Amino acid sequence: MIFRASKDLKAKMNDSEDVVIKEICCSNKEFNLIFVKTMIDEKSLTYAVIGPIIDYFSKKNNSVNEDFNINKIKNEVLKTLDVKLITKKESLNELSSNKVLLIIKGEKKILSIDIIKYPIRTPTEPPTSAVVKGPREGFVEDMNTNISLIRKRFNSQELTVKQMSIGKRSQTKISIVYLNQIVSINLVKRIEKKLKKINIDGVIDSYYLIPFLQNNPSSMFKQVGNCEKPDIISAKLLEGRVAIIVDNSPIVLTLPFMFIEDLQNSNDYYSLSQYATYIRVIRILGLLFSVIIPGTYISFRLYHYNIVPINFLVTIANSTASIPLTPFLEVIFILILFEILYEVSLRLPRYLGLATSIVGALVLGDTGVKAGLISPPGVMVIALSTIAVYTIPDQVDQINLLRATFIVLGSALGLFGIIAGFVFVIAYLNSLENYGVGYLAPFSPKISSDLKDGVIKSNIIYMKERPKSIKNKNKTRMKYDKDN
Amino acid sequence: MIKTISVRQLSIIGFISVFALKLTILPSLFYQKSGIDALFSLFFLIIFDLLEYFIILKLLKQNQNKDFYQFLCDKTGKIVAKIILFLLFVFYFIKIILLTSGGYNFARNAIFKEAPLFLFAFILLSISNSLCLFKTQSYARTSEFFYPIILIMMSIFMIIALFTAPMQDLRPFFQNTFSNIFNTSFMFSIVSGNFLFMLFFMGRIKFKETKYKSYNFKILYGCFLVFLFYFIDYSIFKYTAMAHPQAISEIIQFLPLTNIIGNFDWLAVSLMLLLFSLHGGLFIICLSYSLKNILVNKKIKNKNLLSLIIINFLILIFIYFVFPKFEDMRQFVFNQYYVPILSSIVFFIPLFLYIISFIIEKINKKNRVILKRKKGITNINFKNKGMYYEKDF
Repeated sequence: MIFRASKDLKAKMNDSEDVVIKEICCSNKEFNLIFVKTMIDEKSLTYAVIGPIIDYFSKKNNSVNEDFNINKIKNEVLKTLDVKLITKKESLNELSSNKVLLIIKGEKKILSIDIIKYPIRTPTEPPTSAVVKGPREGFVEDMNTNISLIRKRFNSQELTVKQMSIGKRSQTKISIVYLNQIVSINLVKRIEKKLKKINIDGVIDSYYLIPFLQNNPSSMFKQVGNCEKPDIISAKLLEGRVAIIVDNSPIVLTLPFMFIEDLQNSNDYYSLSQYATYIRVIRILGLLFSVIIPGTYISFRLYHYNIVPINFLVTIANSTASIPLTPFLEVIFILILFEILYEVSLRLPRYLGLATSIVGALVLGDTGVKAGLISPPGVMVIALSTIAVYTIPDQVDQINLLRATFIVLGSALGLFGIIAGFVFVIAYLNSLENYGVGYLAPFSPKISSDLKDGVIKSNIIYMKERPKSIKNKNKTRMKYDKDN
Repeated sequence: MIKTISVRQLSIIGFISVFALKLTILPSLFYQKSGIDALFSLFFLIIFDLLEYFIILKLLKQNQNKDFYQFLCDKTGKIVAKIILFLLFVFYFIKIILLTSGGYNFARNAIFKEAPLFLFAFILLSISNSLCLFKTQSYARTSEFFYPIILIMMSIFMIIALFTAPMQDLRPFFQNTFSNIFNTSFMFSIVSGNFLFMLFFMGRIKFKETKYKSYNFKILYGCFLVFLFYFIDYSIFKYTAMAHPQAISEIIQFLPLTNIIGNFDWLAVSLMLLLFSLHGGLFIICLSYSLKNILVNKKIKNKNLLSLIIINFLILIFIYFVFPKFEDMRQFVFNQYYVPILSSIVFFIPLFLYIISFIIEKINKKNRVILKRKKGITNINFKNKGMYYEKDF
């Protein structure tokens, strides 16, 4: 028999087809199981819930009524760990959270059993942060798996996880993770306060939280760190940062964020420090090339050809002499062409994307040059700039926007426009309030000890202290004596 | 008072403030006035500048919790405070006009052949205003960010110039009388007073660090680089130095290095444009601060924005209608006696403030001793105008 309470619950769930009520009747006892069919582990339901109940009552036979107790069912009968007693008021919330509810006739309390199961991806190497050396596992969409990936790296009591739900309708679970003995508690409180203030209908991904966590939400510059790798997050926790894990998102957020973090890569910490330094210099050059080179090229061609070394000038003049477009239009044309090709290659299936790239690069580029519509230096400058963007893959959006801005500045205001623009960007970044941390630290403000992991990557034995740019309780990272 | 600038950042801003126009038009103008002895005129200006630096630093250390205007009001009273701020305003106003006009002159000759003044002024004022709007902490950090770049560029330039350029013997010196040499220093005093900006940062500096020597070294090194630059310029061009108004750019073109790696001028041009931007920002910060505190009306809500609007309006009027040509500006700044006189007055403001501050402190000390002798008085507070005491009950 289906109880009235079960019917009510189903009705409150809008009579959804996947909400199932299962009746069990044995030894004169009647039970109702109500659950969302699509969200539970059917095997567990059979072997850990239904099976033990039937077994228990069939063995006990007639004596069952005498010592029957709902607590006994909870503690002795059900073969699952996550069972709790709830009231009828709480039942709808529990059912919405995909728990199985066991209603027993004549009992005021209800048992809520957690045997949730939904598709979980196994941790694989994230496509955005592939590594040559070091751990390859990446976060998945399941929050518990993500926490376990971090927790297995800290076998101590210091790792603290605080949970809350955000989203009026989605009730998305969010975990704030930090190392209690290192992190500044003020930072944790500040983040918690910001998260609690969020009033949104649903949080689909961790990116939804970023504008709420940024002190300058309208700024185009990234102010919250994001990462898909547990080893990186663990390292950041050790530096005194706080991680925010959002259920259903493989991207874990970290705070506070500094620009230098995107110049660093996990490979740097698993390879030779000298090589890491060399690569970081290349990344900085890549950043400069991608942002400034197209604008500078236009400004040199339009205004300052007299300061270009004569050999370069002759080469550029020869190859651009017959181009019908102005330098600005030419660069914009090539840039748009590249951006279209990029978008197409992202959206199309892989085999088609490859074909498009060939068509784009060879046919459009080569024939464009041969037809005299675009010049080889123009193609080279934009190609170099477009490739160089990916030396810092986490800032691609920002770099692309900056590049477009510098192209306009270079063509309208020349070299002075570019330099003024550069000064403006640096001043703006320095003005960002970022949880008490300088956005461009350790360069400005200069923090000498943190420069050991700046452009130059020192050997780990010399990085004895945690970054001073981030406020933390415990400054010492290690005690190492070279002679012993 | 929120401390937003470190001593290191202050010294970096000081280092940067000694360059700009000193590397372009000034060597030729100095040479015009007193030939090779211009080196000594520059030397005297540098010495005065350094004295000023140490006096201001002492004032800043003594008044760590006071805003500059508050300090002026405490020591001199409101009216004198506003007069001092007005003098500083005029001084920095002439400086920014000179920077805009001189900078445009340099840029037009070096890079923008046909660019209108409007273009240059628009860029310079845009970046200067935004540096001012981003607050002093951001300005200090920005200067700190560019400091290694400027330092490396300047040092490399000096080393290459010293070791590769064909130098001529500068002797004989002292062909001018000492009065002539001093007169030249006096006439060019508007380009000096580089460290007056420190007054505007009063009360915002964190004086916790102990490495003052290294910070003072930055200032000394900056001054040394300027002197070395003049020495190189005169050694290369000697008698024709007055005909090379784009000094830094022209030295680079003169170096044998040009034959090896082609035209290297863009390096100097980039450096100068960077310096112009940072200087413009600093001048606007000082101008805005002065004007904000000169404005009497307390009802004005956004004094910062209003002061910026007035400053920009005045700058545009001056560069378009009063000094449309650089030559007019040059004639005004370096030939009219009232500009050097004004500069000298401004130049002695820190000394005046230091003396006033010293005297007031001494009088207060004396009064404190007298009052301590009276029974029952233990907690004595001295305020700006006169003093008061509290009885300890």
